[in-house]
Amino acid sequence: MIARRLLTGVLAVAIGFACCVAAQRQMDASRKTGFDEELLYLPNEKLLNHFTGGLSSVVADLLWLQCIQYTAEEFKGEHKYVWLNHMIDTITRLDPYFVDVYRYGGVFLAALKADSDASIDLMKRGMIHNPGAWVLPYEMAMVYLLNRRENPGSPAQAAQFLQLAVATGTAPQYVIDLAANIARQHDLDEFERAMWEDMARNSSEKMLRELAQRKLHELAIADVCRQLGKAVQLYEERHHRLPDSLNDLVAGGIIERLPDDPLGGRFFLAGREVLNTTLQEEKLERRINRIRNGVNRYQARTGAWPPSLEAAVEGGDLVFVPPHPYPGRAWRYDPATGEVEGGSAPEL
Amino acid sequence: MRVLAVARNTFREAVRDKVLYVLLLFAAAAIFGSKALGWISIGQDIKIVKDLSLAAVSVFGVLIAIFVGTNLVYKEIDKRTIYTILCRPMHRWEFILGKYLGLAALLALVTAVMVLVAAVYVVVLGGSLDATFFLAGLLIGWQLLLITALAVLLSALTSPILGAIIVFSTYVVGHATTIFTELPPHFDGTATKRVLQAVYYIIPNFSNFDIRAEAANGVPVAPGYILWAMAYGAVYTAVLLIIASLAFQDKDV
Repeated sequence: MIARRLLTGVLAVAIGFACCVAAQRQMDASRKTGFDEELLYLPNEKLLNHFTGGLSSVVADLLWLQCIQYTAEEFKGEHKYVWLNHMIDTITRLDPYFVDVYRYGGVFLAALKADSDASIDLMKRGMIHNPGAWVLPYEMAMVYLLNRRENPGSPAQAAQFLQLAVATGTAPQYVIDLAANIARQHDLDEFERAMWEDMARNSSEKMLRELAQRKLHELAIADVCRQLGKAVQLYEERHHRLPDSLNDLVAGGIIERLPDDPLGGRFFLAGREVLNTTLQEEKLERRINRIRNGVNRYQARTGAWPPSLEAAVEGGDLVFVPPHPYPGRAWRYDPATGEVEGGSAPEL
Repeated sequence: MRVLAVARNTFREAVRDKVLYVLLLFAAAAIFGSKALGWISIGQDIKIVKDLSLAAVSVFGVLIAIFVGTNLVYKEIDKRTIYTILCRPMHRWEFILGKYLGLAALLALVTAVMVLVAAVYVVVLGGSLDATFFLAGLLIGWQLLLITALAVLLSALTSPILGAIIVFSTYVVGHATTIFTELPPHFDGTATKRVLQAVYYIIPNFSNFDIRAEAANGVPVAPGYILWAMAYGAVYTAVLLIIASLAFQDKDV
């Protein structure tokens, strides 16, 4: 009796549920809307941000899943991707730290929609919000290398972005190797010089014009260092020994006088190489910031400062400890405070 | 001492509330079910699990604070049990504070358990956690303390349903207060702008406690920011409790 009643109950529930499923399918078929119709009503991201009740990053996740489906649907269908930019913009404004959306969104825009301008704009925005994410400058370099191959300046620009990816301090070894290879193949100095000259001439911002002027001076100083390096080589060939200082080049009649550094630095000899304090200080600042970023990442991850810089490398927060730009000197790291110091320019 | 006695009793009473367990069940379902959404992503499953878990902790914590909090004082008045309490040598503010502390302790416990469960789930799924994830949990808990103070204030003044509607509306508007400051330029120098700026500072700004996007994406948050948000929450909570005590002082029960 009980078994019969139970069976009847289960059967009734199963039939009822099956009817519900059938009815739902009918309704879905009659109300089926395409992504286009749905996305037409996707509100402005600012409005969405205000009225998600603090759930903006969850809404961003859900929209991203819909974006993946929309992209797949368009890829199988019409290849128009009309709503792709709007969806990605909305998601990244709802959750500006969602690195994968900038990354894959940029790839979708460049590779599928063939809109490399939008892809580059998107990834630039991503880099502003996520300066430590190496994947964004790396993907940007890939867009220049793969999607803008016909543009003559693209390889040099790709090399620049690969350098940026390496500068984050978290890029894997293959990116570091790729950056070095591409930098060797392309004259980055020429590209950089053209970029700064353009900025020095055309920028409406006084600060940017001054920055461009300084960078042009630095490139000129680097040229002087290379010329002096050749002079050292010549001195060695003539005297069968290295000069004790750059003054020996003047005394030996190889150069007329020591050149001036317009930025107030000094040239000095380090083995066979000629270095300049302005350029080395610039390198010092960049490298110290790279180390500090790694140390801060370690602290954010573990709650404690790394016991040594090598510990930050082992933890994956720093790819490698960059060498000190001044020969014979080392970084001073305090594990109690996380402070890294490189010291000031040596007395020469 | 009397405050603690009321707090202990409130805690015990709230633990027995069935609504708490129903909401916790939904929170657990949301946390464990979040992995299903990750399946249709392209490698962002851990980020989505973190996002949804913290959102579940926040949303269900808010619902618990609203449903239990708005009933706290009202229920005592409605069932007339308040007479047995107030006839004792006890100040009314002590009663309000005790009620608040009892529910606050429960919410702190519930939030800690939910954050811990979410953290274990993330680790089991192969994800990694950093300090920001737990700081996000801390700020969610801090936000719940503020919402509870608002719920206790309204519980002393209105019916539970009206109280719940007001607290929920304040919660939604409290996440969108920047609309009061982002006015078009033609409002510059007008009285409307000044009024809306005042409204911006009066309404509790719940987005101060929202660092969930940073937690899900592993972006560090400055310790100074966390301390400022906690100070803001503590002061605002104290102000609401003072208002609740003053309102309840002269209330005819």
